Amino acid sequence: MAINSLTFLYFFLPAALIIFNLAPKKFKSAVLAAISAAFVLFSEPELFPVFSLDVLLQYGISEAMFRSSEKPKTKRILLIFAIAFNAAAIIAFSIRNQLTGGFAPFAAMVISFTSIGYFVDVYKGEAEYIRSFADFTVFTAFFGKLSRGPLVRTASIKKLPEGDKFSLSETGSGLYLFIRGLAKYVILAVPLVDIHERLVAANADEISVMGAWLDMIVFSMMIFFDLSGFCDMARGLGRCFGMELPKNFYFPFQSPSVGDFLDRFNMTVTGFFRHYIYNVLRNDRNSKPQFIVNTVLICMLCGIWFGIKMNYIFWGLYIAAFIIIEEFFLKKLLANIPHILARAYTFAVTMFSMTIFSAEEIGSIVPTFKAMFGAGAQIITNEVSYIISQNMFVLLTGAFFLISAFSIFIRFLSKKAPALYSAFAVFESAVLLTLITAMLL
Amino acid sequence: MKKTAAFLIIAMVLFVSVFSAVNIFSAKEFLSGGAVFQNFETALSQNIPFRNELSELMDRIRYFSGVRHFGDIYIGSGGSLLRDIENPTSRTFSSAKNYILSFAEKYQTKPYFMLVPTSAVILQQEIENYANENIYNQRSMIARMYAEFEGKVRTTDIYQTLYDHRGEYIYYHTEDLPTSLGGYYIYGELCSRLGLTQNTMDSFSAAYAAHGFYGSLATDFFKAYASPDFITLYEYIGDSKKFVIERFNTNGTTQVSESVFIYNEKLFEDKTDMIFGGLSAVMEVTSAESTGERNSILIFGDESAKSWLPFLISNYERVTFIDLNAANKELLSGVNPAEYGQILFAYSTATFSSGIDFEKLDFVG
Repeated sequence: MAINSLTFLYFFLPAALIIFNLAPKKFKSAVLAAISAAFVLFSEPELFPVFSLDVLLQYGISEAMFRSSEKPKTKRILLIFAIAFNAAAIIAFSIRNQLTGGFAPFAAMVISFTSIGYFVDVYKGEAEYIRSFADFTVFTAFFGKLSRGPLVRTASIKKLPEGDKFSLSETGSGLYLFIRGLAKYVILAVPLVDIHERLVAANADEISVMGAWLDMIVFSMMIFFDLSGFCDMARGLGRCFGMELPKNFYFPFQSPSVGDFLDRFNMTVTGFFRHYIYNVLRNDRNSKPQFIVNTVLICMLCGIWFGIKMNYIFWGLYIAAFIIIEEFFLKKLLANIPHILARAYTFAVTMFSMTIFSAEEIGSIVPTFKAMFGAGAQIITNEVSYIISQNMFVLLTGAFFLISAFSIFIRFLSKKAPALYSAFAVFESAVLLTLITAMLL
Repeated sequence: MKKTAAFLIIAMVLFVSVFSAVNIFSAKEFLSGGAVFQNFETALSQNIPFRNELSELMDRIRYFSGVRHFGDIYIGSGGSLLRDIENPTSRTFSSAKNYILSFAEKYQTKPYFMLVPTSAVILQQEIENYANENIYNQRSMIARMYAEFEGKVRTTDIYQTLYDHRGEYIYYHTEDLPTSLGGYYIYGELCSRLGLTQNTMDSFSAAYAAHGFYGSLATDFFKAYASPDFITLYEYIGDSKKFVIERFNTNGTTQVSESVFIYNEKLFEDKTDMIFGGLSAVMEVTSAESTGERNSILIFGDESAKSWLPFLISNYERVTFIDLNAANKELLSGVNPAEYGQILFAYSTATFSSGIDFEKLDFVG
């Protein structure tokens, strides 16, 4: 049972909501922890013991650190052990994922990175220890965020004011957000995966200018709707269960600079690395070499978040290179040119980055770039033109939702005409639920 | 968000949950041992309220967004539903070859063999560019099978003939079968191969028997985009030949008729069953008063015979048709191939690819 399945939408989620809301206030955390455990059990039964032991061990370390508050040396050893253990878990799950595919490493990444952040925060005294095992489980392994994140820090997870009692408004708006996230994934990301695979096959047979460009755009949309769809689902679920999780994407492809792109793309992950690594390493704020080294490191880690593969590392290096160039050479220019030109520049750079990101083999990157500029490739093949004609709806809809126009409209509506916004939300939910259900049949 | 709106969104999800749950938990599979739990997602998708309407909605959206390929069916530009055939396996070829050759050896005969291409390949110009290149290459499939039989079985190639007439109504739009007109062209090729004199169209009286019907390929969704069909029945009037049709069914019953066609279309859900009243597992057509060629033929075939068999019977005194996939041991053991002057295996490429029970040839005789 995946989070994007009919079983989850129509059985697991309603049942979980009913059980959670019927539970007495003092048991709510325990119930939510049990629901998260049940989700893992139904989704990936073979990983259930591993994740259970993982969370148990993390909690054990947390308790041990708490009890060593007066022994700095022991506490430091425990922190080093916790970081080493979680780093090893990330590497192990990443390798496993490359060999088998499947649920991990995102769930393992989420649990491990959340734990690392937590241990560093409590060690530095920036956060309080979570003493309840149920609270700790919900914090590290809330089922909503196991699929793709967002990555939450102790400071970034907020309990809603009415989190302990049933709120019709919060549950309804949470469900609305969840449905919109699910729609992004089911209606756009899934068909885009299919289009991308067909374009990869078509380009492997005979690469064309149009095929190479289209695949790059399709892949970018696919990544965006996949990741932001899952994060919206997580945020919606969080709201349904009394938590406010942070946003993870804010229309990255319309950023005015590559640096800004990194702040809007998978922003909880970027924020995490920035907080725990960049800021710690950057002692001298004016040191150019340190800026370069730290930027390269952060960008590479942002790539590795998706898996330990050469193309992700190269993607990080590519992004880092542009951030460094912007910092030293383009900063003023980008600030002074018309906004639309700055956005066009960033759009082009980040779109090209997706060619690196999507490359199955590093060797295929250069031929793809060459083909994009017409070197030895025909303009369009019959197959690519067929793929376009068959998928016009998805391509146009995807392009429209890649920019923030609709989001701005919704925000405007919610502020200026709340009643109309509510009516629109009901209508939109009905339409999206119908389409989602039809597509999942 | 307003509470009313929140309530309505929650209610929508709960509505589907409750209705699906009621459907699933009242299903026989659930009551008879809980098999439903083995694949809950499938069970749920099958029991979602308005399932068919949702599926159709999805197809319509895909159609409006430019999609013309639904599963194995393409919507042709001329309003035809063109079904691509399954890719036959090597076993399909070897099984056909081995059983037919051993059958031929057993009865010391050199049988005839014909594969009838489907509309998907003959009318592939109706499918948009690129997609039509991906249609399974039936021509090479036919050539491969014919090459396997070289020298041992007499093959009939009708591909080019049908292709030359592709602008005419030779295939039903919504049924994966040749029309009677297509059947006449097939009959022409068969005559020259079987050594018969082809009866001209003047020897048959044409009757338009069913108008504006949709065949088995046309689900409700496809009906909106496919052209309806009509049936023309060609009754032999060349001489005073009268036919008696005996249809032997697997349940032991026999139906006897003195008409090749049954003109009351309301009797048949499948309108092509107006021909012979539908093909049975074993069917024998004899001419009560023959003045033509006095010979006999044993035909192993499928539904595609509905198009050309009404013409071919005009050249024979006795025609026995066997559908190997439908016939059972009892029916087959009652047929003696040695009694026939000629033996013909004739299948559409679609039936051939999806598998024919050639092993049942061992029961014949």
